Amino acid sequence: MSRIVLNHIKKRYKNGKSFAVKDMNLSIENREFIVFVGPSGCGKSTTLRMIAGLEEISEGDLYINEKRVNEAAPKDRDIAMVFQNYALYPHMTVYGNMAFGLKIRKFKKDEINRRVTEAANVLGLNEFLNRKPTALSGGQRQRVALGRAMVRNPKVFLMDEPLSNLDAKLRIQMRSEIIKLHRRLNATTIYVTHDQTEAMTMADRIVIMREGEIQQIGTPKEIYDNPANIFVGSFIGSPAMNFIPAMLSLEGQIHIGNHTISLPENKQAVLKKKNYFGVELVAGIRPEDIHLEHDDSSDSSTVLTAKIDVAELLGSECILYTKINNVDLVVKVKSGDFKSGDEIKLAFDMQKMRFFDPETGKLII
Amino acid sequence: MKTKLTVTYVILSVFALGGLLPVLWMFVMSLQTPRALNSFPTLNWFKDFEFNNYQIALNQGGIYQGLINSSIITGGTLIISVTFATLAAYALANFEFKGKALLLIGILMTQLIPGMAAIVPLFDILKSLHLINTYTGLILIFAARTIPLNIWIMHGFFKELPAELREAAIIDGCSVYTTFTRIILPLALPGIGAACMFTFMQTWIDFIMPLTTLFDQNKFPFTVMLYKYVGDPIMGTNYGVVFASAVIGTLPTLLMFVFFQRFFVKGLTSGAVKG
Repeated sequence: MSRIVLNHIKKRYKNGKSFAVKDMNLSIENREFIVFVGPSGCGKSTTLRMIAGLEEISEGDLYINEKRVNEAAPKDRDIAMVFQNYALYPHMTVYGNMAFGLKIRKFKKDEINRRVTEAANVLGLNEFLNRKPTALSGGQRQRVALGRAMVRNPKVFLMDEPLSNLDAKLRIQMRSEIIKLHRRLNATTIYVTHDQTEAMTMADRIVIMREGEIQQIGTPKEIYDNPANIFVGSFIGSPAMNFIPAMLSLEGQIHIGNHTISLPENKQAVLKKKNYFGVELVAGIRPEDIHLEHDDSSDSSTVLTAKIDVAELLGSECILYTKINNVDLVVKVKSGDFKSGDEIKLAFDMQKMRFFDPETGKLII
Repeated sequence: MKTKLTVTYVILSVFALGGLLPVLWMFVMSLQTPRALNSFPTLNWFKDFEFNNYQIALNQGGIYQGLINSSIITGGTLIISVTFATLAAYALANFEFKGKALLLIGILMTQLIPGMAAIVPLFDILKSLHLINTYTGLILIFAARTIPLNIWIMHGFFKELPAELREAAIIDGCSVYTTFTRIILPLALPGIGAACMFTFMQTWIDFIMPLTTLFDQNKFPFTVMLYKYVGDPIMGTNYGVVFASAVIGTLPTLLMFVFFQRFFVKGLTSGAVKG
């Protein structure tokens, strides 16, 4: 069992005027793979370092397995950490690096040997055990860093942007390796990244942070489908969600530029109930929820004409940067022959459209 | 590109030659007979050389004692100065405490006092501590003199080591002490090498301090011993022997440099973190 609870955790640096982490409340379940994601300076790494014990907690309580560990030294928290820049000991061999933590903890030589060999097998590091870190590639170094954490058999794995120094191809490969490793080791893992793709592909649950505050906690699907606010919608997903200023008329139609689109009744009902009729809103729609409309006779109440600014061919898909009146709209469609300047007809999947309050940025429906 | 490289090498060669010239001069002079040294116009220095001066210098015996004394003084200073400076610099580089910046500047400020100006007060202090005419007294003075700059040298090296290494060690279960001895110290060897080199140079070649604080001839370091050869009232100065002794006295410095040079090679930390 390794449940981690953050209870009103705050962090204020010395000389710092504001809080780097503001009132963080989170419960991480046993064996969960949780990802902290957010732009730089959002407090994700600081939170991880507080859990590791490398950073003092200014206010609040941190529990690991129901035990308050605010004052516990990192070595007494039964955690292992993988750093962004590997932090391998350059004067030790790969074996030495992996064995060091066990040696310090006075493990028997046979046991150290067994564990290091086993981890090296899993990570494919067998032939490199006698090499120094300088003689390894970036990917191999990161594997050693993972191995160093693995041999300790910790309750909790902490990973601070472990893949951000690797090239794109290796990153994708290591991503799946880390997930496999997590399944194999069954340890609670907290993973910090600024890369939303990593968060989406790896996490059981994602914690999205911004300016020291949690914006949303949820499974990747929950967060993708129902972003709690405009920030989350724009941060998760590539290309980001489209945000369009819209006006909701008293008749239950929304006006986007010169166009008027009818809203499904279920959405109308909710918006009406929440008193958003006749006011400005922000409509949000994912690029893949906008479709090309080839049939001229289709219902004009959901079809808009747009002009292509730029067409980006990605292979099987095509990203179209379009304009409707003065509103920018990014559309993801199956690849075809698109040229800038072309006029296309677009239909919104209105059930997938989300509405946000323009003042608070919060999701309405 | 090629022209730029050539110009660089020419300039560097001129500087290297400028640095080498006194050494070369010392070596050539050490091989001359007294007649050749005192003749005017000069005889052909490169024709009539002999190793007699070295024989005289070594047979006089005093030079051995001088070298041994210098080694004791320098060795003692090295151990005290580098140990204290390394520990102090580690604390200054890695731990937060009140007045740290002021302390660092204060340490640097001590270097503004010219060595000569401190001779009289230092003599007074040694006297009141009953350390006049002792190696201990001299070693303490040299240590006090070299510790500040050594702190700065080591501080720079510790600052350059990535903080993650220390943090990784802490997570691995190291205490402050084991982090220092098992992780930081091996990586700080280039810095320690540089500090040793600096301390050695400062101490081995110093002349004024032992001259003023040591009275016992048997305790004189090599530099003061050499002084004895100058201006002998009866025999006159045998410059050939002085130069030969100087060459012998330079050898440890040379050896020291050859030994520590490998520590200067940077890049020991490359591979620790993404570079």
